[in-house]
Amino acid sequence: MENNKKTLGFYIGLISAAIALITGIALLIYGNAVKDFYAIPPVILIIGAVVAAVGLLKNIHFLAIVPGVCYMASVALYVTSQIGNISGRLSDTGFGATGTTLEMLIAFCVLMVAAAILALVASFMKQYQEAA
Amino acid sequence: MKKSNLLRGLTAVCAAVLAFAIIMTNTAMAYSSLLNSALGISTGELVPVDGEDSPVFYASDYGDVNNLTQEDLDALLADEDAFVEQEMEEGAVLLRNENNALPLAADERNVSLFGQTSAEPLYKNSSGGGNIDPTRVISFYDALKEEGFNINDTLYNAYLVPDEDEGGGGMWGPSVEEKPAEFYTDEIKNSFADYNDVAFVVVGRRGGENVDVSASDEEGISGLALHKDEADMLRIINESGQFDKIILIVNSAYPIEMTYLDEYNIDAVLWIGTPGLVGFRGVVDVLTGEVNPSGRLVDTFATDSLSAAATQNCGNFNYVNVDAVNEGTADSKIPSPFPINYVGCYVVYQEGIYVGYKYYETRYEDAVLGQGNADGHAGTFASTNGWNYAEEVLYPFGYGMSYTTFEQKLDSVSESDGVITAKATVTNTGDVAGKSVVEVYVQTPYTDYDRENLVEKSAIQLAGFGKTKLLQPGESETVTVTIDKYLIASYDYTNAKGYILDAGDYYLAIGDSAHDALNNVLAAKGATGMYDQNGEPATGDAAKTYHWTQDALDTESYKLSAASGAEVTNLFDDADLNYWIKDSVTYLTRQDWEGTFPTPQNNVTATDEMIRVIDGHLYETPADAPSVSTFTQGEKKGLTLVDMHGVAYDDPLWEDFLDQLTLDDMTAMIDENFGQSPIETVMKPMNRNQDGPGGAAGPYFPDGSPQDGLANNTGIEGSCTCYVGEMVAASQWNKEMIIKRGYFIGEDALFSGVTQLWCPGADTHRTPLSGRNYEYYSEDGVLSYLLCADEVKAMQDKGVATAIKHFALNDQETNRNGGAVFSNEQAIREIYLKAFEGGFTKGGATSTMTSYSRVGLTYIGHSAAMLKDLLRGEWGFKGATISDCAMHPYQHTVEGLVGGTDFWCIVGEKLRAPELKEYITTNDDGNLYGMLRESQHGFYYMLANSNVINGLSKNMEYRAITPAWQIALYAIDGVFGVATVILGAAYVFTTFGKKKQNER
Repeated sequence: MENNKKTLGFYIGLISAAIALITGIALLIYGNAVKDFYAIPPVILIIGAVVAAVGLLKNIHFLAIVPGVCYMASVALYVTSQIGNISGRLSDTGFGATGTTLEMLIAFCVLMVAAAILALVASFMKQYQEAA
Repeated sequence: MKKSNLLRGLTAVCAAVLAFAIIMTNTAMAYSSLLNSALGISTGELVPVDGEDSPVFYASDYGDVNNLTQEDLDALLADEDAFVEQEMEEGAVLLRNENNALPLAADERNVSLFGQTSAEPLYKNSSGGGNIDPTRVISFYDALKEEGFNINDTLYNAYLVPDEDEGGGGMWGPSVEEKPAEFYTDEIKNSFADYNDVAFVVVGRRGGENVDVSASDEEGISGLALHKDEADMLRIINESGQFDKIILIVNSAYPIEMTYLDEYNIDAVLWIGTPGLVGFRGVVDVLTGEVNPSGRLVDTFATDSLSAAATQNCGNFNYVNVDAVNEGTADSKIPSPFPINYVGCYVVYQEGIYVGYKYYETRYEDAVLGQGNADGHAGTFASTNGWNYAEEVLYPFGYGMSYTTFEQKLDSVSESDGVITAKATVTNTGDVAGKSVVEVYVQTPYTDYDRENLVEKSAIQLAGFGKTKLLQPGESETVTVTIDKYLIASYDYTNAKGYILDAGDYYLAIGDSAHDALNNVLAAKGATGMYDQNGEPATGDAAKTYHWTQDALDTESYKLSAASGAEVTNLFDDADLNYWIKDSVTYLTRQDWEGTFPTPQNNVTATDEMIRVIDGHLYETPADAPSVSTFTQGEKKGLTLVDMHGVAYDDPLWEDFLDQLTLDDMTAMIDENFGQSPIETVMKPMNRNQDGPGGAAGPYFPDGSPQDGLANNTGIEGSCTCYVGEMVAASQWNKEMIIKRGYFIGEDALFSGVTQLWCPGADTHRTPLSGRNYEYYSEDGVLSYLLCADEVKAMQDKGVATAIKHFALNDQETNRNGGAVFSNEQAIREIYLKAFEGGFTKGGATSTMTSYSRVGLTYIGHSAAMLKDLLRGEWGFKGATISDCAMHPYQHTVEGLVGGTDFWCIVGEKLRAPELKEYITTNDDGNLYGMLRESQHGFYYMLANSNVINGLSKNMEYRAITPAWQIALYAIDGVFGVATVILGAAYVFTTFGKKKQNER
């Protein structure tokens, strides 16, 4: 690395990775607490965050493609795993309702989408100032 | 921006969208049958070749069933609205009418509506179609307005303002929702003066699917008791001194407690249950006297809603060693999103046959006759000095008042070929026209044989009934009631292991209620000391009874099933907890009421063997199982579904038909999502299934045809008619009306394209708290048997594959998912299976939805004793069984097939076809394949004799259809896939190619 000066893209990517990492861990803890445990979405989130971190710290440009993909995949997997819950909670019958509340479900989705958007924005940007 | 950065960003965006889209596409495809069903999309269609007619097998009386129009529907809905109104008129039960407070005089039209339920009526409870179409629904307010009432809008509008902390009602809300005393401000109180002819007080109770009424709620009292806010409301009304009359309207499917009627000067009480879409018009007709009430109670109204023998054991009971049960069962270890204990809960029906009035009335006779310690203190809830009927019971089973008086005379009783014929003449001795119910009861002897062999006998049991036409004052009608003696036989599970008729004295009696009839029997027996439900001395009327003597015990008359010829014998020995743990249950017996009155049985420890059976993974491919290859598959024999219409179940032609199907064809049908896909092999179209029993839950014209009106409406608006609650329908005690109900629901099925309808409900009102009582007829097995038979037959005649639910033992909602039900076989057969038996053996139902419960330790969907030996064997059922929603780990695909479950309800993405196919092929299990083939036999028999074949002819073409939403999803995947590849390549070239170039 010829120049260590970090750009806005670096920080956006870092914030995105931090959100993803925290959301992933929170999802693991919450899912376990409410007996609605499905590991794949949070694990993919965390993998995305780790890849983002490696890409940022090692300045490997092409890795910036990966986090956004991971985060969007996590959103999709999480939402699809919650279809029964959403249906149950929005209907009178309660069929399929789980321990995950709608408020928490929405909060997790918002965080994952936010991480994805930030990661995708960062993917358009350089992460370090180039050497003069 | 540098080109490489731009390309990297675009690649990331496209790849992210692609990942999202692929996952969503896969999910949508997994749910495709559900989505297609919801959107009314078929994946294949059968098209008549040119010149072919569109045959009609099950006609509508409102138009060409293959080309129904909006005008046809309008005509149907007009008739249905009138019918629902009539159902309510005949189903409402007048329970109290002091000083002839009802009907209202013509000048009593200024009224105030009290109670939150007056503004938020319970048209229906939380489940069971139809739905409430806002464009058609009539509220109590609307109905009163239509009849010219002036309503206190200050009060009414105040109720309409939602509370900030309101629980939301419905399934998840509290059972009781009422405004506190502070709600009644001076402004509201001042409004009473101008609307003071009548105070209508509407009280309701919520309960529903998955939710029982609480035995002890947040106020520490029964959910059916008078709650503080309600008491405050009644006090304010009474103390205001403003109102000429106070009329209580009970808008509740559950029998509420009403010990406060005198205290608050309530003049009249009208029970209306749940009135459905427009039933409030019928309520107002009764209040104004346009119609004379003729409904009779189908449940006992007790003084204390917790006093029934059965109520001592309802709710949540867990094995003492529930942790060991969880540890020893595989299902409890399967990750499941549901916080439910499928394996560790149970309930013991200690009360045996003494459910509802059979408890209260039998104990009453024994108390009057001074036998069996009946007047002891055990089981007293409202009695002040030993058990007393009048203190324990408010309104007996079969009770209901009229605006006129009737005289009933038992003319004759005769018997021929096991059928008793009773004739009674009813005369209207009052001043206004009305209808009267002839209730016919029987008392069978309770003998030493019974005492020795643990056979219990109710002191009085309903055997049949009839209802008069509208009788003008002075007019008479002779009502003939026929009774199959089978319905008064008792099941002896310890000795004869079959139905018996004891030697001894039999009494048949008519009466205005079960209690009235019993007093007549007691009079015939020469007893003294009788009293009515109010505690007033009663003499009974022996002239309203008929007595005969049977010389010898009869264990043979019903040894063979009348429905099938199969031998009748014990099938549910292992449903008795005593089978697993010796002497663990003492059943209530009239030999000793004091010593055997039920107590909560919370001391059950599951043995290792019990845990093995609870686990339920019991099927292994037999060593001698034939190979799957021994069966013919996929052989073209030219037989289509419509060819099998009317073909007898045991006709060899069915073997040819089944030979055409492949394993894929067969397994494809075991997954249900409100319908099943087309099968080209046998030209089976898509069939739709829907929920009942208050009507069909789906929309009219689900295919979007015709294009106007209610077309393609999958929401609540436009849904099929919501009839009165099933227990209100039962309260009519009118067979013609129940047949009409089946007829109209059958018409709805034609207009909504529904083939299998999950109704009627035929479980038992075991306790007043059971959350789903509104979907079931009654606390009495015989009343439910007779009604279920008639309603089912009317629906089947319209081509509805009538899936009576929930077969069986779904008598509480608490722990309904996998809760074990322990009972003895006499109670199971006489109380809990009786209504189903009527629907299957007399009504000819071709389908049933099984319950979530366990009979004993075995999930009913796995129970060959229930679904094969009893249903198909003893009762001769021909058709298909569907599980309740198949979302729980304890509902096993393989064991379900072995036990007799033909397909799984609303499987969502948890498809069972791949699992079953893999098991059969991996194990080359011809034994299981044979069961699947026989299961398909029943399934296609059901369809071949249903409305799904309307419009099908021999010569049709099958056209596969790929739904537009699938094409759209694949297109999105494709576009973003290609874009990702192109942009990714460009990025790689731009970045790394350039770098290499530079290095060079």
